[in-house]
Amino acid sequence: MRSYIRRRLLTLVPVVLGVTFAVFVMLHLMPVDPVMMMITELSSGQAPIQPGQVTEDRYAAMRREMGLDRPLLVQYGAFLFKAVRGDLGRSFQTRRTVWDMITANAPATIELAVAGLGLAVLLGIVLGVIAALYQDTWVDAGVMAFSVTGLSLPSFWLGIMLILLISFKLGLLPVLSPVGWQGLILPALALGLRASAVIARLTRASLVEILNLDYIRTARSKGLPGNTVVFKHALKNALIPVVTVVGLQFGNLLSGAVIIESVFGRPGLGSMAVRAILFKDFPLVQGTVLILAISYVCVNLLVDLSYAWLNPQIRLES
Amino acid sequence: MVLAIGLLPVLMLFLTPQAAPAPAPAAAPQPGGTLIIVTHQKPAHLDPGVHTSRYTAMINQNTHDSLIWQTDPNKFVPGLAERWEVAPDFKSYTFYLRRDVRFHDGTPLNAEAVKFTWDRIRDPKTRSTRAPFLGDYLRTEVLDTYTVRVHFSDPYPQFIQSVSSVGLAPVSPTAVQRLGENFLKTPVATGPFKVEGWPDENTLVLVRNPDYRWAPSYMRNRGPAFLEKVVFKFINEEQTKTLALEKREAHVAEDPARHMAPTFRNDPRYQLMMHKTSGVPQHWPFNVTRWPTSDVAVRRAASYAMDREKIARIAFFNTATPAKGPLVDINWAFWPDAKKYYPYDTGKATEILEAAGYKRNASTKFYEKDGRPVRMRLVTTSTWEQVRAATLAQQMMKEVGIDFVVEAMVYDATVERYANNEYELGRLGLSTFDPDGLWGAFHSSQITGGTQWNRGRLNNKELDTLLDRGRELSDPEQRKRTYYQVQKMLLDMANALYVFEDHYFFAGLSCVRGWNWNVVGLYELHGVWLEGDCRRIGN
Amino acid sequence: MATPAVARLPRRALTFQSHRQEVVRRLLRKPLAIAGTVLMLIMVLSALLAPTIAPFAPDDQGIGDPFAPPSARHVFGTDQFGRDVFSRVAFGGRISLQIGLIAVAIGGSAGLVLGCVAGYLSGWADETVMRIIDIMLAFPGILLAIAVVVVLGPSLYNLMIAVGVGAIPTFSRVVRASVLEAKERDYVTAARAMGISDFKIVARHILPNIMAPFIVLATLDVATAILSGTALSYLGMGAKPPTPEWGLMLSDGRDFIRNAWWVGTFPGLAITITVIGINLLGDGLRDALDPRLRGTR
Repeated sequence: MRSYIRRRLLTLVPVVLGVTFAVFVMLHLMPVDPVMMMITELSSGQAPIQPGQVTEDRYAAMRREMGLDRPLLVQYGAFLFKAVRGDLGRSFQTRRTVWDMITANAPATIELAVAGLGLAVLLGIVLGVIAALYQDTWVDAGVMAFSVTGLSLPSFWLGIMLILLISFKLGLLPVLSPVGWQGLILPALALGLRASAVIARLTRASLVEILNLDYIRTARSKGLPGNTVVFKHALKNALIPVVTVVGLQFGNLLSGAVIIESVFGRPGLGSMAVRAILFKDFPLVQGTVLILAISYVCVNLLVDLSYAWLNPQIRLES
Repeated sequence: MVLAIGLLPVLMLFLTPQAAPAPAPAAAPQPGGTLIIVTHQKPAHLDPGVHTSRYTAMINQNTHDSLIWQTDPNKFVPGLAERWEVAPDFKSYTFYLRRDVRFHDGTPLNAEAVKFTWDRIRDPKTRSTRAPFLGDYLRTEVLDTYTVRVHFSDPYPQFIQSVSSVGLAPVSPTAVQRLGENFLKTPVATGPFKVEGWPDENTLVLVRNPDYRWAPSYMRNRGPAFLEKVVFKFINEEQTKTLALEKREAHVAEDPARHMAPTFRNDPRYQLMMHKTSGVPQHWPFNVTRWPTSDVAVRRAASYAMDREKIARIAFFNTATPAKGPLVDINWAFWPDAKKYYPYDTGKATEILEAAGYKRNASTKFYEKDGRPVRMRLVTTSTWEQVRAATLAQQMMKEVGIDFVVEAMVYDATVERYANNEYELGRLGLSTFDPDGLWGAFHSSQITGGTQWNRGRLNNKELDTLLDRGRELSDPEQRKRTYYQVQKMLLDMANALYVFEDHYFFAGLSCVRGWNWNVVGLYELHGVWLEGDCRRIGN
Repeated sequence: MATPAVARLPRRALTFQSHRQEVVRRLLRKPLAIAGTVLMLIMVLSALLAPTIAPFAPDDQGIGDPFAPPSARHVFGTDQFGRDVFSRVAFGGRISLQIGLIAVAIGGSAGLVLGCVAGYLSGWADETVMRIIDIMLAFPGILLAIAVVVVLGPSLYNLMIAVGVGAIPTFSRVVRASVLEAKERDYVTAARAMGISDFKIVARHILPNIMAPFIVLATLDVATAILSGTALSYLGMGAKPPTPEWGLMLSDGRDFIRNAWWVGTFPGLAITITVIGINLLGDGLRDALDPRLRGTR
């Protein structure tokens, strides 16, 4: 077990290197000038309000300070060297350290992702179980129809609809997401709906398959409709594929978070990352991607470990 | 002098066009309450000495004070400096500071602090983009505790304007040293509001500075601000901002949904706070080095084909006004006769093209000459204002047989296209109230050099001479006349499609009173107060 | 949707082709699958026949007043420029379907190659490919798409590339898993023993066997691609105006949702119905081809 974990953690290295290098190359391929970005208005493309242009040597001086005049590989090397020691550099835009910005923005996103995932798992499993228990009836069809729709709605549309309906028309929740759990409900719902649909379908399918196995059928036909022991065993087995999906969905949730954070005006890594890319804030983009890559590998590892725990028969081979 | 100050409020009235008048002022201003503003303009940080953009300037206008204040073009009043002297050679300026000013952290404002602020801006380690505001800075001299003199190696007549901007506002040296890099998030200055902090990444809280007594003379409120707190919530989504206002969860929304403008204007529960920015209006300069925009007939025809009033109405729901010429109509050097040029007339447009030898192709419906269709590419930014205006224009051009291709992209991409001369129409808009902005936009030296704002690639000696003269003259009357000639020349050669005049578009609850825009187009919260139940929101 | 895949199969395909009739029969037995196919056919046909069924050109402004509600003349109303929403939705179908198909083509073909290489060759080739896939998966999909669009420049085709690239990891994984399984079959071992070249083995014996999960994934991925395109349009990275792309129309329309709900709702419905149809069809295919596949999504 321990050697397995160690081996998996070792895969961190090529993945992280690959990811950061790819980002690095992409950033430098962009038709970009981070110095110009800092000087000009982005949204209107207008020059600064007051007269006073940046002279040639000021421009050159700024490039030098930001380290942009050195060859690409040198810049990349410097980044890695510093990153290993925990120095992810400073954001071009805000001048704060990248680490500071990530730690400031991460909690909101993690909160949202966990809430969304939690909601998705809860809703998905419950719906899937209901559909399986009443398989091939209207209930089943209804639940599945709901799932398919949940999979097919554009997420920002869903988010706006929720705000309009629940906050505006019904007045149940404030429009501006407040702090605390109240502000999480709508965003988590908008975020988690798609994942819940996937989980619902999967749970239903797994459960149906197991419930239809002969020995279960016999047990049930013998007049033990809610035989809890049998049911629990069936459910536990049915949940195995669901666990893998949950792990995969985590990545999707982060993607979804970008949109949801924007729609609901929530701070977080998603909106921070998008702004960073648009503003060509190299250090921030690289730092964020680095952290995300590391978390991805760790989450994957956790998923695989829980997979094995759920079903000890599965051996942990790569 | 007294007369001048007395006339200032009147001048202010003329210079800051208000929307529909708010209901008659009831009681006197009442202190208290928290103002909640929703906006998408989130500043990257709050230190104007490092960088100002419209985002930071809006907020800094309320947290920082400058040494002098500009009340209208060419007019300045004392601020933190009681009086000042300008050396005849414009190489040095002396400021006599007030003695009663304190920074938000309690430390006194003195000449040392001013020197510290300006040295810091020029310090390469600060990486300030505001450094050019200090021109050819030599040094700042502390003459005595409250007297400071700044020296330049070359004459810098515009310094008086730079020093009135919030970029050169003094900051507390003690705080800079104490807070280190956190200073950028929570700066310490002398303004009517202090930065309390950021409760989360999308919320900024300002609190009233109770010691504030040094407001400039033109402000009606000479003491501390009325509002107890100001909360900025940064939200990207337009719908969410609008809904927050309508549900009374915020008092003011910046740039809510434009199509709600008529609703907000007509509903007594709301008010529109709009401000037209002076300068060069949003326009699409024709690239005179490429065909077909090199042909003046084509340019004139296109100018007649554009229904600017319709664009203002349909694309902006009348929250923007049609542009009339190279300067916005509220600019002091605006040429009144510019309004006579190029009224919407599709008949005239086709007439001009036909007279110049263009033939309409029966199948494509576009005009051609020698087999080449009249096709022009507009390269512009992909902001919604540009896209909407361009989409409408495209249709208008099509009607008179001009193939108008719209290529919208991010700002850097446009700059690259301009640099490579791969376009027939560019885009530009400048907010400044000095008509010298025309120099930056149309002088031949600014095509590949300097600002590179001359996207029309105009290289006209006569025009250059006029623009240079406008910079060198100091008498406003003479300058005005020179700029009249500039505008006439530009309009005669139909150098651009002048599209719309930007407004800052804010909507608020009508119980928000005393909203004020200063000359530079930034809002001043010092005089704002909340009426009645407005104060219960957010508390 | 099943036919094109069959046409691609090499002549001596085994499992799928010989059971083709059985598959179709199973498919027809599921009402949801039929419903899905019907929905899809409607959308595809309207997209193909757009020039015929659309009463106006999608870019023509001022045909009606701006923000005219649905009427006999404008079945879906008009938008902020007075353009006919129905015509735009009809033409938009072409673009959205293009996005879906091209993105899947890119993701699918690259994924097929990578998956076969990894699954069949094993060893270091496998490890390398898996790491590459991990690297691609380590980016949240949307950030990757944004980065690609910013590097290549915002345009519809770059959008398709971005979404397509994002689909490669999933395809690679599924193909690899199937190849690994198919590799253990008797006839493959036999073929190798006979010395038949690897390439022929992959082409003739392995590929046909992995077609089932591949087709299912491809079908479902068209839906995902269309939705990703929508998300990118919301962020302003997708199609540029005045292209009548559904996601862009939806994104623009959300501003007017309270006073002119039809501007955004109809494109939104179009997206949802198309995606639902594709999903139902994909599900049906999966159930018909191999019920065991339910665990792979």
